[in-house]
Amino acid sequence: MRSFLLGLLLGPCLMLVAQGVNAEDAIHLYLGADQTGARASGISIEQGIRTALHEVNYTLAGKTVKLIVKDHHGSSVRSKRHLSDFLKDKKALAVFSGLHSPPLLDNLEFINENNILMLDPWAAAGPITRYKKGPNWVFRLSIDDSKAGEVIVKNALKEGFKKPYLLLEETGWGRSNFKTMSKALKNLSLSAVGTQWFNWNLGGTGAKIILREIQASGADCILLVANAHEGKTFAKALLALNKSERLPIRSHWGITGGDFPEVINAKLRQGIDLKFLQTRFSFISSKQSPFSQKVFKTASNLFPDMIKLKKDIQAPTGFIHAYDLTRLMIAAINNSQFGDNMLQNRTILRNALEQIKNPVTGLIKTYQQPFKPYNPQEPDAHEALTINDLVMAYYGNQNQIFLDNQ
Amino acid sequence: MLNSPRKLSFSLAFTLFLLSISVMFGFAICAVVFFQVDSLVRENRQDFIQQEMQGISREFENYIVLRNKILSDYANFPIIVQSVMQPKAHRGSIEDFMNELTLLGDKVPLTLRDYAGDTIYSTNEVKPSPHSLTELPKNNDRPWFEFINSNTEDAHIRLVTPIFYQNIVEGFVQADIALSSVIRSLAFKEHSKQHRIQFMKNGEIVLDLGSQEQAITNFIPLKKLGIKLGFNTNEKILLNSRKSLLIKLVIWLAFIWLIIVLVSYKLGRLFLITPLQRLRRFANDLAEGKEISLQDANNQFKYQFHELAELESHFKTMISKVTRREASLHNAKESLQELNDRLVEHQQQLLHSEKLASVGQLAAGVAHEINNPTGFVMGNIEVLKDYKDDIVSLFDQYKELEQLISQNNTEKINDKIQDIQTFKKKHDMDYMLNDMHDLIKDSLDGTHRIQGIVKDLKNFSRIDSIEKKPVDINEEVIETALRLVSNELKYKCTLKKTLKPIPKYLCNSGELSQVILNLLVNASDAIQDKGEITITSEYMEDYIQIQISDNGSGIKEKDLIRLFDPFFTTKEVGKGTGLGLSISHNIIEKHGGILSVASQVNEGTVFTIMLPIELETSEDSMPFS
Repeated sequence: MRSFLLGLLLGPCLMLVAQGVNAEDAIHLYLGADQTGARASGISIEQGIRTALHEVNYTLAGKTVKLIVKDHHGSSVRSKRHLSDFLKDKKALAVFSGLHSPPLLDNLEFINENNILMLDPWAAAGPITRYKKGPNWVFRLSIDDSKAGEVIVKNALKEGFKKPYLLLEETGWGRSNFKTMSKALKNLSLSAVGTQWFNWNLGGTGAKIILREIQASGADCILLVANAHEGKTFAKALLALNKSERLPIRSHWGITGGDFPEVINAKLRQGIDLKFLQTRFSFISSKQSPFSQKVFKTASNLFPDMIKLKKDIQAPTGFIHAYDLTRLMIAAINNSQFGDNMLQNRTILRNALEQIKNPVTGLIKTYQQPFKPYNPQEPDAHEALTINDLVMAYYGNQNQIFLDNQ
Repeated sequence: MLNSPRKLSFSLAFTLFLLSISVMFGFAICAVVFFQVDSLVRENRQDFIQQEMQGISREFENYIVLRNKILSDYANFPIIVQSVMQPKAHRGSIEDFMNELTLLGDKVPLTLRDYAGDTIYSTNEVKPSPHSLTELPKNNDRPWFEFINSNTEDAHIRLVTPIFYQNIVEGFVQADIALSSVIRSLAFKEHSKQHRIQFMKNGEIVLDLGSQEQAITNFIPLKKLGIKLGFNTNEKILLNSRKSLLIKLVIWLAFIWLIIVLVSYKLGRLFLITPLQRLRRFANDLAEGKEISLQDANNQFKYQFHELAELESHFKTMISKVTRREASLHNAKESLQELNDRLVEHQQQLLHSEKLASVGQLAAGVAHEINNPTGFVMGNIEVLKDYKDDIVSLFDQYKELEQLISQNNTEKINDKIQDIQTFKKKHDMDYMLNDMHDLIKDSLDGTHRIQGIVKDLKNFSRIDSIEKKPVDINEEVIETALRLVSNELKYKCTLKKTLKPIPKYLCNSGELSQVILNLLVNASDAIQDKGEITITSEYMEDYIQIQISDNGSGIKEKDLIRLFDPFFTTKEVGKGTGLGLSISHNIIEKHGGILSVASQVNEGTVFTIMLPIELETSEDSMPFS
C-alpha cells in the first residue's frame, strides 16, 4: 500500500527520470538515424518512438527502457560505428533505423551476421528486408521500394503522363527503385524515356544540365528518387529553368525527410508540379479517429515546444511509422518471455515479431500479423505495409502534407 | 744644414708630406667608400635574400594552397561524397574515378578516408593512418598538411582536406606529394645552395636544406599554412664578396693614388720645389755672402705661380736692401766701436780723475802726513850737520895730536890731550854720539813713513793695474784706505775697526781700496761735528762681508733710489763729482759682488759689500792664510 502511494506520488517523476538518465535502465533501444542532413526525419522518428514508449511508461517486460539516439548523417561508416557500439552494449535490444537506405544496405551483412535486431520505420530500399544468406534480422514498417516504384509509376500514368523519365540517386536505394520502376513500366508495356543517375552533393549546375537533358529527351514527367538535400537541388534547378522547360515531378518520399518544404517553400512550389509518395495516413488530411487524436495529444504533451499543431510534425511519415513500429515491438515483447540475457532477448523479440497474431492498432491501420518468418519465397515477410498502404501526396501552403485522392 | 743631424731635404719632405696626405686621404676614402658600399651591398643582399625567401615562401604557400584547393574541389565531387558515405556501394566507381585523378597534372597517391580517418581507398598502397580523429582537419579554413617521414627518402607532404556533406565532415581526401617532387618543382635545391632553408611546423623542423653550419636567423611566417620558413644567408659568400670588393677598392685606390702621387710629385717638383730650391740657393748665397747675379737668374727662370715670382722679386729686393743695410751697419759698427773705445777711454779717465779727485780731497792730509816726518827728518839732519862739525873739529884735534905724538913733544901732547878732553866735555860728545844714533834712526823711520804713504798713494791711484791678484782684503784694501784717509778722519770721528781673518781674495786691490776710501770719505762727510765710523770685515762661508757704518746725518729716502746713479751728488758744487758711489757700485759688480745701503736720516748709514769667494780660481786663496 505504501509502495503504491509512493508510486502514485513519484510515478511521474520516475517516468521522467526513466526517459532521461536512469542508471537502472535495463533495456537500451538505439535510434541510428540522420538527424543532421535529413534532420526532420530523424527527429520525427524519435518523437514517434518516444510517444509509443511513453504509452507503456518506458517499461518493457518489466524493465525500464532507454532510447539512445545516434546521428550517422547518412554515412554508412558512421552507421557501422554505431552498430558496433550497439553490439558492445549488453543492454541493447534493438535498433531503429532512419530515413537513409544506404547505411542499411552497406551494413546489411554486418547487421544480420551480428544478430542486430533492426527495426526500419523509413528506409525504403527493397533489399533491406530481404537478406538471404542467413537469419533475417530486419523488420520494416515503411514503404518498400519494390512496391514504391510501382505505386509512383501507376499513379503517374493514372494522371495521364506517358513518357516518364527516371532520375535516381546513384545508391543502392536508387538502384532498387530503378528496378521496380522499370519493372512496373515493363508490366504496362512501357519503358522510361531515359534514366539519369546522380550522386550526393550534386551541384546546381549539374542538376540543371540533367534537367535540360531530360527536358530535351521529350519526357513529360520526372520520376525522382532522391532525398531532401538533392531534392532541393533539383527543385532549385528546375525553378531556374524557363517555365516551359519545367517538367512535373513525381517523387519518392525521400524528399520529405529534411527541410525541403522550408527551403522550397509554398511560394516556390507554385512553380513546380510536385507530388510524392506517402503511406496512407495523415494527421492533416486523413479522417481522424479517437486513437489518432489521442496519439497526437500524447505527442503534443510530450513535445510541447515542438508539436503544437498537427503540421508541426515535420516529417509525419517518420513519426507515424516509428510510432506504429514501436507499437508492434511492444506487442511482440508483451507476447514473449524475456530473460536477463539481452542477446537472447534479441532472438526472442525477433521471433516474437514474426509471431504477432493479435491485432495491433496503429495510425496507418490495425495490423493483423504484420510479420512472418522470412524466406526468399516470402519476400515481403518482414514488411508490415503493403502496396495498398501507399498513396501520393503534396504539400499544402503551410507545408502540411495532403494525401492525394482522399 | 751640414751641422744638423740628418734633416730631410725640402723636396723629400714635400713628397713625404704629399704621400702621407694622400695615404690618409686614400685610407679615408677607402674606408668611407668601403663602409658605404659594404652596408649598401649588405642591405641589398639582405633585401634580395628577404625577397627571395618571401618568394620561396609564397611559392611554397601557393604550391600547397593550390593543391589543397584542387583537393577540396575533389572533395566536393558527388562521387567522392557518395563514396565516403557509402564506401561499399561505390567501391568500383571510386577506384576508377580516383585512379584517373591528377593533382595539377602530377600523378600523386590519393587516399580517401572516412570521417574517422580510416582508409576507404588509396590509389597507392594503403598505409595505416598516422592520425587519430582529433588530429584531422575539421574545416577547410586553411590547408591542412603535414610532413611525413621527414629526413628519409620516403619523405612527403601529406595534404588532407575534409569532405563535407550537409556541412558535416564525413571523410577526407588525402594526397601524398613526394617531398623530392616539391623540392624539384620549387627549385629548393638551387635556392639552398646559397642559403639554409628550414621549414618549421609547431616548432619541429620538417625540412632542412642547405649548409647546416649556419644558424637560422630569420623567419618568415607562412600564415596560410601555419608554418614558418627559417633561413640564413651564407655568410661566406657575403664575406667573399666583401673581400673581393675590398681588394678591388684597395687596388683601384692604390692605382689612382699612385698616379696622383706621381703627378703631384712631378708638378710639385716643377712648380714648387724647384723655385723654392732656387730661393734657398739665393738665401744660402746671401748667407755665404756670395755675389748674387740677379739679372741672369731673372732671364733664365720662369715661375708658374705669381706668388713665387713675386716672392723671388721680393727676395731680390730684399737681397739688395740687405746688402745695403749690411754695408751701412758695418759703417755704423765701426763708428760705434770708435765711440765705444772713446767711451772706455773716457770712463778710464773719469775713474782716474775721480781717483785724483779723491786724492785731491786727501791731498792736505796726505801732505801733512808727509810733511810731518819730512820736518823732523830735516831737523834731525840739521842737528846731525852740527854734530858733523863738532866731530870734524874733534877729528882735526886728533890729527894735531897725532903729529905731536910723532914729534914727541910731551908737553904739548899733554896739553893737547887736555884740550881734547875739554872739547869733548864742552860739546858733550858722548851724548852727541848717542843722540846721532837716535836721530839717524828717527830720520830713517820718517823716510819709511813717507815711502809708505807714497806707496799707498801709488797703489791707490794706479790705473794700469787691471789684473786681479790674490790679496789680503784686511791689509791691502781696508788698511791702505784707512791710512790714506786717517788724517781726514782723525779729528772728526772715532774709528772702530773690527777686522776678522779673511782668506786671500782674488781681486783688483786698487779698485776695492778706492771703494772703501770712497765710502769712508762719504761717511766722514756725513758726520757734521763729531761722530763714529765703524768698519768690519768678516768671512762668512762663501762670501766676504765688509760693512762701513756711520752715525751721521743719513740719506733721505728719495735720494737712496738714485744713490748709485752717475753724477748724483748731495754735496756742494765742486766738492764731489757725483761719480763716487756709481763707480764703487760698478767695481763691486765687476767683482760679482753686491754693494747695498741702508740708511736712516739723522741716525746713520750702513754700506755693505758682499764679495763672493771663488776659492778654486786662486791657488793662493787659502782661507785664513
